Amino acid sequence: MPDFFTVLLEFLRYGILSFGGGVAMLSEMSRSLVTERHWLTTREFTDGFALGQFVPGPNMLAMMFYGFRAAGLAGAFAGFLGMFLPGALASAALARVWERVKRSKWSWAIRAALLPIGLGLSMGGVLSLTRAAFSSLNLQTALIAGILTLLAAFLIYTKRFSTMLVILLTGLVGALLLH
Amino acid sequence: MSSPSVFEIFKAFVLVGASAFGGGGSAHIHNHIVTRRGWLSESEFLEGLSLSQLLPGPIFANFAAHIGMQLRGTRGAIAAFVGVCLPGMLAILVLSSAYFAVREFSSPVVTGALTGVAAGAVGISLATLARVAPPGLKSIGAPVIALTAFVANGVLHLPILWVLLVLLPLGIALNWNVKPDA
Repeated sequence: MPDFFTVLLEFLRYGILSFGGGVAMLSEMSRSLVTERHWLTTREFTDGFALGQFVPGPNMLAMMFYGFRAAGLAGAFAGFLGMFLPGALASAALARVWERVKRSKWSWAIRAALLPIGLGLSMGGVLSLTRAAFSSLNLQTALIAGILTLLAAFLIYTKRFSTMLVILLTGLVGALLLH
Repeated sequence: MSSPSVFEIFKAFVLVGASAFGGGGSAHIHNHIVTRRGWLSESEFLEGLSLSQLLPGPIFANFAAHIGMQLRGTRGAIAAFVGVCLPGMLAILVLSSAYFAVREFSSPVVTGALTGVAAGAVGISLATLARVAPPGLKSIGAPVIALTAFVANGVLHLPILWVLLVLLPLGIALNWNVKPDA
């Protein structure tokens, strides 16, 4: 069984290289964790990723499952710290510098560029979420799921419900109608 | 807007972390932090989201750390980051132990609930998109830049670093001589 630091170093590599979010690193992870290091089987790799989608919060919490399999509870925390800490530290540092940069003349041009890029990337994110949610459904379940999507969008846009309530509601309807 | 206390930040992000099922975490941040609490403006939200995507690591957690730092410095960043991860961390630890004890976790009801949650998550993200679109499209060339970013990363799956390396200088050049009117 690998120790805490071996697992930490492995996941730090992913944390530092995963530009555009953790999903970009999945194929490298599978190569390294499954094929090269044999910390996981292929089945465990996919199941772990599914569990990461199932829990609330960042879906890259799947790293804790991988770390847990590799080295128990200490491994789970090594997987988490390696994947999450580099980006979080860098983001916090950038946020601090940004407050100063913001007041300078040229920063308006940077912000004018960043806003539409953020919007475009979010549109891409919604597209991949849509693919993941609908790709495996048949016509009937896709129709029900589509209605749930529109209903959720309406309730959130008009500020009628919180996201927590909407998620509970769609989960409940799904459990009753979508199988 | 007076800035919230460290504990208020922690509480808000625990709620975000506990309700953000099925991906699309930034939509949940938007709902809790912008719409319901008014701690950030729509532009600050989009700006922070772009900055969080510039850096490696899970965007959702990066964004939380960014907002926490903006609201209340280092302690705010720690509160937001730990808060957003904590509910899911506990859940995945429990599920991991259960998985290696049982090794099977599929049932029609669970699958149905997951499908419903995934569909709801898409709806929440769509609502957020509709809210952030107007401030995001104000600058010069913004519709073209937004569309290019969408096609390049969302459809063609080009690496995000390339997208930023091309579009960021372009957007800066187009808006170089524009003075903010507000």
